Amino acid sequence: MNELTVFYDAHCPFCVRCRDWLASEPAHVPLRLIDADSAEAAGRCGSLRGLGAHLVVADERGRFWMGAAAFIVCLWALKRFRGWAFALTHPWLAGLAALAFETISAHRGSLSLLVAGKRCEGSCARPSTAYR
Amino acid sequence: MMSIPETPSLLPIVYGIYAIASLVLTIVLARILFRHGEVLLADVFDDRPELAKAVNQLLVVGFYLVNFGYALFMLRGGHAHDAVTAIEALASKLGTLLLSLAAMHFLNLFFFHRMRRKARLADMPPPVREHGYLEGQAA
Repeated sequence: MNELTVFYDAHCPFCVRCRDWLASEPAHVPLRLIDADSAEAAGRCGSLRGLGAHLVVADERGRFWMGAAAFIVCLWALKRFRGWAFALTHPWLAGLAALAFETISAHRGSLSLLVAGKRCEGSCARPSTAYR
Repeated sequence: MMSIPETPSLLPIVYGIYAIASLVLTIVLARILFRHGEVLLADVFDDRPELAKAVNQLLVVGFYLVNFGYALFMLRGGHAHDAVTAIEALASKLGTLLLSLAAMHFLNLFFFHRMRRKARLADMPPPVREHGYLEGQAA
């Protein structure tokens, strides 16, 4: 794997914070951080259901991950957090970690208000589509 | 009434045996650690063998320092007026030394294991399966 593209929700201040953190971490695999609502995202992902509502990560071969799995792949790409990616996918923790991610993801509107003092620009409340 | 004759303390003999035993044990264990640690470290630093050698040497030096220091530290107190108490004193001192050596040994192994795992992590694939391929990009 030579490159990972992370499609994040640029309408959500909390997600933008997370993007800044991702960009600041040293990585094993270079991360490209792209607004899920951009033309480039639409060009690469086509009509992928859930893009923007869920975190999406794709590699240069077109393999993609969504939701909690995408978050795990992000951790895996970071030098300081690769160990965490394996710990959080251990059978004892995987369910809990995925639940935690889904909960945070679903409440990112409130979290935005909390960390950035700003509400999402509409899209954070988008009902989540099933991706499993 | 005859007074009990003053028996010479056996403590010097106990200390002598203890000193020799701890010296031999430390040297033998350090050599084993050095020989087998090299194999593990070569695996951790497979791109830099000279670094593996250096780390191994430093670990063995640390092992010697801790062991000899601890062994000397243990060389005090105790009573040995007859053969039985002498053997007891020797056994308790050697026992404590061996147990602390064992603790250090397992700590060492644990660190080796962690270093190895960290080195392995660098070329491990993502731990989660992809959900699919983006349209038109299937490889």
